[in-house]
Amino acid sequence: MGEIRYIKALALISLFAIAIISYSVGFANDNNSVISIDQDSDLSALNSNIQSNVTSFYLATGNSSESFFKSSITGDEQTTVTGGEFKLNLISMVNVMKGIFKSINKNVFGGSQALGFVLTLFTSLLIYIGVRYIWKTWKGGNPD
Amino acid sequence: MAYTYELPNMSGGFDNLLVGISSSVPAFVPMFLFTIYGIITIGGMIAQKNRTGFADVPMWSTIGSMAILLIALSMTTVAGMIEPTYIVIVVLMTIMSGVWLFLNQNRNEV
Repeated sequence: MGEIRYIKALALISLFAIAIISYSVGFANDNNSVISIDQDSDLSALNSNIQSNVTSFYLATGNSSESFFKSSITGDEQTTVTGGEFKLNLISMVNVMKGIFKSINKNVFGGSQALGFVLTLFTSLLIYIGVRYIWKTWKGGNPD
Repeated sequence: MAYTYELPNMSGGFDNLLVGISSSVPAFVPMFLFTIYGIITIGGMIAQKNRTGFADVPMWSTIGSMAILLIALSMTTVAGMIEPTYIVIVVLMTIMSGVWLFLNQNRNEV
C-alpha cells in the first residue's frame, strides 16, 4: 500500500469513527433515548482520544508546513538536510488505530486474549499461504 | 398448552411485543440484527458480483453494519428492547468495517 493511500485511509478512519460515535450520541440526545452510548465510558473515551489525536495531527502538520513556508534561503547556503518541514507526524494517527483496537478488544472480545488469538490465527494463515506460494514457485509449479 | 416463557401482552402495541420477546429470549435482538447484517452484506455482495464481476466485501460489510446501527439506535428509544452492550458492539463493528474498507487495497465503487 502506498504511503499517500495509507495516510488518506488513516485520516478517513479517524473521521469515520468520530462521525459514527458522535451520530450515536446525538441520536440518543435528540430522542431522549433510554440507552445512550454516553453511558459506556470506554466508547466516550475512545471518541475523545480520537478527536485529540486528530487535533494533534492537524496542529503538528500545520506547524511543519508553517516552518516550511517561513523558511528562507540565501545565496551559497546549504539546503536543509533533514526534510523535517515535510514531516506529517503520523504517530497520532497510528494511535487512532491503537485506541480502536483496544476498545474492540475490551468490548467485543471481553478484554480477554481472544483478539490476540484471532490476530495470531490470521497471521498464521497468511504465513502458511506465503510459505505454500514460495514452495510451489520454488518447485516450478503454478503458485495458484 | 404449557409455554416455557411468559407470553407477551399483544394488546399493548408492537413495541411491547418486541420488548416481551427480547426479555423472554435475550438472544432475539442480536440474532435479529445479525440476520439483517447478513442479508444486506451477502445479498449486496452477490448482486454486485452479478453486476460487475467482483464482490466488494468491505463495502457491503460497512453498509450492512451501518444499516443495523440505525435499527439498533431506534431500538434504544424503548426501555428493555436492547442492551447497551449490543449497541457498543454494533458501533464498534461499524468502525471496524470502516477500517477494513479504508485500508482495502482493491478498487471499489465508493
